[in-house]
Amino acid sequence: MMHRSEKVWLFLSFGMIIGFMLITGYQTFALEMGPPSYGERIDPQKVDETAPFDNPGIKQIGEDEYEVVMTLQVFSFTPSKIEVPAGSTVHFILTSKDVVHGFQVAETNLNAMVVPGYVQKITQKFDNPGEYLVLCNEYCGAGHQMMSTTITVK
Amino acid sequence: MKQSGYGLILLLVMLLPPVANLLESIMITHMHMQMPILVIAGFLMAKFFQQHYLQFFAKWNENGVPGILLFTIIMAYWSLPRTMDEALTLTSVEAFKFVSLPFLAGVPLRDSWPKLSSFWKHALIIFFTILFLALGWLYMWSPVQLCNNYLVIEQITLGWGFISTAFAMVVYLVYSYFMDFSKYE
Amino acid sequence: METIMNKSGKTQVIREKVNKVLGISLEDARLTKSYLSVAFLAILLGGLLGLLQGLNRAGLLELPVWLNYYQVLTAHGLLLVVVLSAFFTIGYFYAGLSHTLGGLLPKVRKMAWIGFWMKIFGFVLAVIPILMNEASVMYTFYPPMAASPIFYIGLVFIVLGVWMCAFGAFINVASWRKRNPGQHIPILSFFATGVFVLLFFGSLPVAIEVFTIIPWAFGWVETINVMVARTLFWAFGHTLVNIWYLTAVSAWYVIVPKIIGGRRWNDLLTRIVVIALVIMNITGGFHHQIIDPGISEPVKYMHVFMSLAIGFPSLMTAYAMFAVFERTARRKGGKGLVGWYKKLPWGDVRFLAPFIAMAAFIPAGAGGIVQSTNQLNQVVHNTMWIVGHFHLTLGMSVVMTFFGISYWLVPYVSKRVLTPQINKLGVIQTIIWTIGMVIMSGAMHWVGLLGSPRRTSYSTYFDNATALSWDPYLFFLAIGGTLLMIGVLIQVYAVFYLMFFAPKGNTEFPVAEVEEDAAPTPRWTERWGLWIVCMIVLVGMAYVIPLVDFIVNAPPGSPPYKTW
Repeated sequence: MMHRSEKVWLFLSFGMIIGFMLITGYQTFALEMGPPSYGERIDPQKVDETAPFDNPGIKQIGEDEYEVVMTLQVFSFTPSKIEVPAGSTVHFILTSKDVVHGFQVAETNLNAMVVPGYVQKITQKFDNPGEYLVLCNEYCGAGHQMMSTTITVK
Repeated sequence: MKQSGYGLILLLVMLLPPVANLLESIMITHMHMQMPILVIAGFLMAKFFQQHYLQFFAKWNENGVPGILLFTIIMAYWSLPRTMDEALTLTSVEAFKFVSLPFLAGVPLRDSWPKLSSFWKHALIIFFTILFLALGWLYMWSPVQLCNNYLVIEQITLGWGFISTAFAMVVYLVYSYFMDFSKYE
Repeated sequence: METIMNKSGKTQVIREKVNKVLGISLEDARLTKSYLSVAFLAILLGGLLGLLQGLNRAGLLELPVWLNYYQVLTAHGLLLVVVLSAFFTIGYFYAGLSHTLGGLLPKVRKMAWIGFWMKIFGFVLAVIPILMNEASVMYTFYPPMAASPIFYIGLVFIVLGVWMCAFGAFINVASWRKRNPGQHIPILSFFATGVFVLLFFGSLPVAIEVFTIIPWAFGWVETINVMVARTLFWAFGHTLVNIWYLTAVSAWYVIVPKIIGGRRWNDLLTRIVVIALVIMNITGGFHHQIIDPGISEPVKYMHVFMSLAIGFPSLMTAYAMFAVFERTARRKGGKGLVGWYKKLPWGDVRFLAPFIAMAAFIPAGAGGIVQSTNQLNQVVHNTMWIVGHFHLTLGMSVVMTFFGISYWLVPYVSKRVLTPQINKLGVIQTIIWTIGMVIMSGAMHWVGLLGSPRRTSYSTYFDNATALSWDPYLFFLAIGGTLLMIGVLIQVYAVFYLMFFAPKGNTEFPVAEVEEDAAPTPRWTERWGLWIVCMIVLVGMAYVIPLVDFIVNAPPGSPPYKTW
């Protein structure tokens, strides 16, 4: 019932899907490039009293390694204006104090959903100096288009 | 014949260490994904055995009941929490899993199913529905951790997995009870 | 009793014959005309709102305070995603059921009308708070943003209206099967069955979500489980888009071969595609949550497979379509490796529009495969890339197929004919639409890769250099949007001309036949109960893990917020 060429086509199609699976799996589990999936729970109405979000800010935790504890709320990021030296790896620990927000840094692969009640983690190495635009990419209200800040890499 | 080949490929893929590790890392995918896929692999490979050992199947599995009993025993065995735990810790049990599910469950299932009367078919589905409801209840409400390798939350998840599978089987039973296929054929 | 059954059976047989000769009955025609009218009014209004957004994103237009960007966007989404698609799909498939099953049963027709008014009522309820700026929550309405409760009640009526139509279709198909033992459901009705099964099961999760939201929006319950709501939404959201895709696919398999004067692709493979899409669809919705917190990486990885698996029937379709084209063109004397394409009726809008729609699905489907893969999704999630993607899939592949259908379906139900002038106008419309969509969606894809976010009104982010560098690309949104608006106007004109003013005559409902030497299709394809059971098992596999985790290990819930 199937033409030979169709069998070849379907074989290639299936192979392509499996190829995507293999590459994705290799990147996720061997290279640790998986999507941000941290899931610690937090009371979304008591973010300010819960460690580490009672003290948001940037902290050096090793040579060329920084940790940024950040809260997202309408329509701002706390802390805003982050500065790190070029070549540093930055670990972001994020949560939301109200609605669902997005954490995206243009020109990098930083992109994570920040959902109230959950702690999200994502890491990025900043090699090139410059000013990076941080923005909220999940619609969060009337001032959504203003919700942004910058990361300066020197 | 080709499907026997596909079945073998499926079994070999399941044997690959990264695939096995991934599926065994979560309790529910271990029991509700890896194990059924192994049975399906055997189901596909059954064609090969049926053709090469025609006599054997005709002699020992004439009305399908012995085969389906074997299938049921193997499936019930692998539904126990302890067996999963052992599969993760003992290599011999793990090996037994990869042999028993395809060859002692999948192959007899394929050989027996067409031979069974509709009474036995429905009895089997009803048996598994009850078994799954019971296991769902066990996994959800068990106050203790049943497996050393899996957390209580995974246990509860597996319980819901059993309940939702049982639900699907109930839907099927109701459907085949109320549908008179002869009217449509 | 027996004689009564026989009698009604006989009248039904007579009715079927009458239907074949005289075309659609007036009552069935009125139903489809009403559904199509609402669909095309929705595209007129929704298109206009889309143009306003395009102009705003390009920095050319500041929207007034009483009708801000997010109100416009919510209404645009609701009009095109819910109203246009639902009304077109139902109008088209009910005409198909009427044609292939020998007319709608009177009670089914009544159900479809009740469904029609429930949806209209629900839609009016939902629009009022949007206009009052009480529901600027987008059509995804993620909690803890809370719209006015009226908005959600409106959605409930829309879902109930859709269910009415789904059950109407099931009743009609079941009754036909009883009257025609041993026969396969006609292929178009087979597609319709698949679509309505998906509409019902796909909208169950969103119905559950909305029922948990309503008491919370009224303030009777203090908090809500955000991740459960989100997960339930996407179990519905992605199914919905695939439902229109399946609707478009039905025209590709069944209608287009007839229009080019050929025969249908292998019946069994066609039915397998429908069954596969029905079984695997709902689990695909999970790829909207790839960068959400609280779902472990192995679970996300397994969902990649569930999402990519949907690509397989689509790739089967791609082969089938081009095989049908080649076979038909060669029969007409087409020659050469690719030279046969000259034999296809390029000047016929009923072929041209769906053909471009199919061609657009090649990049659109490829983009879909790319973005449902974990790491690649992270690059484009919630950027303009996604907007570009669904304007390519829905705005081109689906909607252009709908346009192509309208040039024979509307005259069929209004008992008029497609005039050469309107055909020419349709060809022009198709070209304008194609250019507009390619410009707009291309620019969206590109600027999305650079990082420009979706669902955001025009912003330079305090004159940030990166954001300013996106402006030239965003300008193309205005150009594309303007072309598309011209396309909408032509299309709506053509539809209403064909419905009320075109010359009277008989238009055929083009359903292609299978090849003469086709092998009979096996009986098992008709076991819908079994497919539904398979679907439930697969949905269980996909959703039990995250939902149990979100419910058992739930964080304290969130109160409602109105942030606009």
